[in-house]
Amino acid sequence: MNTVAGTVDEIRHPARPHGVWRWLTTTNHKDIGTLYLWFAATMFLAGGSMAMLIRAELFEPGMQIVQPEVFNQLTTLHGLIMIFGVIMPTFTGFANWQIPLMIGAPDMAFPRMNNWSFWLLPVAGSFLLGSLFLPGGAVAGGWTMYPPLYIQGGISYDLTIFAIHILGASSIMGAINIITTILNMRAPGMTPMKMPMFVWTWLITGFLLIAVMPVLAGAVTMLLMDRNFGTHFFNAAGGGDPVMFQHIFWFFGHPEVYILILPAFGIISSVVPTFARKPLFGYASMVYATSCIALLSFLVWGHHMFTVGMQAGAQLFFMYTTMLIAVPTGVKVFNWVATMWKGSMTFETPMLFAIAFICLFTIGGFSGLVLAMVPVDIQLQDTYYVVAHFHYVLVTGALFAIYSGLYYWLPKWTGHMYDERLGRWHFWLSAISVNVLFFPMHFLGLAGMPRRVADYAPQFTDFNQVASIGGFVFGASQILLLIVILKCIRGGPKAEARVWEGAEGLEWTVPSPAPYHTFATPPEVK
Amino acid sequence: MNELAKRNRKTAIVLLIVVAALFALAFLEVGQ
Repeated sequence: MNTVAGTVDEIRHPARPHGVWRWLTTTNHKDIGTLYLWFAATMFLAGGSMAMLIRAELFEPGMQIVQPEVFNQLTTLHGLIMIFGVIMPTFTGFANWQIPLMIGAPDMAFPRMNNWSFWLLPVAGSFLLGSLFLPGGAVAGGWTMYPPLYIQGGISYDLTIFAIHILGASSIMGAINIITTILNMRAPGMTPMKMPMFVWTWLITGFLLIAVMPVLAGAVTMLLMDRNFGTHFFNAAGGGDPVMFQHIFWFFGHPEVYILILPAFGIISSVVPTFARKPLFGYASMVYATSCIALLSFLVWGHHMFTVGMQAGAQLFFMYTTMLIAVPTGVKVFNWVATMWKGSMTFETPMLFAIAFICLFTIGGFSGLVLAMVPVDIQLQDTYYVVAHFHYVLVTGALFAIYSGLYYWLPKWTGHMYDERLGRWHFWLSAISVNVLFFPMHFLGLAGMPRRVADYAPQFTDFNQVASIGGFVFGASQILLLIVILKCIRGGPKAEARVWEGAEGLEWTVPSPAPYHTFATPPEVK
Repeated sequence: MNELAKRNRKTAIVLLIVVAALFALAFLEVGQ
């Protein structure tokens, strides 16, 4: 029969191409999710290598390995790559894999646009990395792209700004796809307040992207026009206002921080209930807290500019709104702890990373509160205290949540259990070394060591050496993760459909590995 | 075009209009 009419599956989904052509032309959400994750892993290697070079140079005072201008290029590219090339694509990869599976949809709303969203990324990534080889080297003016430096630089600045345009277009298309999928393609019975928290956090992240990416695109377009078409939007010599760029940039930049952390909150809200074997405590308050964080994120951008020159009233406004964000964030941390309270807990690798996230992200949050205070910020701005703060948020926060989610869903994606022993080694080595790496930076900052400088005064040597040793161990321990992933893809104990005993949700009702096409018939959610 | 595809297209168009408006707003803000 099949030879004449074909199975239902074959009719709906004709045979897919193989090899490179499959990956270039794929419109399948699982394939595209995998592409996002491997792209992010490649960029992580590039951005991580830059971090290792930075820490090697800072191991001792004086210049040893790179020239100061190359050091500035490394810090700039490290920031751009880790934000736009690693954290954001990884979360989009998770979204591609998980959102259709979690809401019972057969695929994303716009599969072809999904393919296009991904394939823009390698182009932008190669522009960013390729700029290293242009005359004058890569951009060295910091990831924030402030004029006048970004108006005065060489050809690599044009290339980088163009790369940001492409990345922005990719993010906007991705956000439209994710929002549309969540709004229109949920399985019957899945009302908004029944959606998994990961889906909620991504819905809100999608709206944040829609709201701020066009603003960034506008700002960098004006920058490009100032550079190439004789306009003076940000050129003080022509009557423009460089400080205006900072306002617009941070109107994008602060919500961007939540774009980088809200999906992480969603992952932790999936992992903690599973391994505590209890439903998430305060689901509704989690939804409202996440929305509240997103709304407040539009009212705090001025805290990045306290020392630029601002009226006292504006400083007070931004200080109080920034501190206010601690309230909904506190609600979330409280709810995770309450979920674990009296739970029947086990400590597999995803849970270990989730608990580390809760403890260490909170440290990053607290140092954020310290920096929110205007008089303190005026002392600490542009010191290593700020570097310590945002690395606690983005490494032990966003990255640890990514690790947690990776170990959690890897068996569902590959069909095999990962090596738990290696996973735990990866966790403990990472969790210890990351603190050795970033905690001393608080002390360096408090003692006045400036950031973005290749050399330093000899009194900062000890803490810098401790941080560098932590950095090298942290970098090396990520090789373990690569081994775990490759081993898991190649084989291992067979994973069941419901991989974890306490896991709840539609993704655990399909076999492991998840079939190429899932939920062609929508499931009924009770 | 089926009902779902129409609904998806409408949602995407609304979101694109928001994107275009915000892009223009950034220029207006600086151009003042």
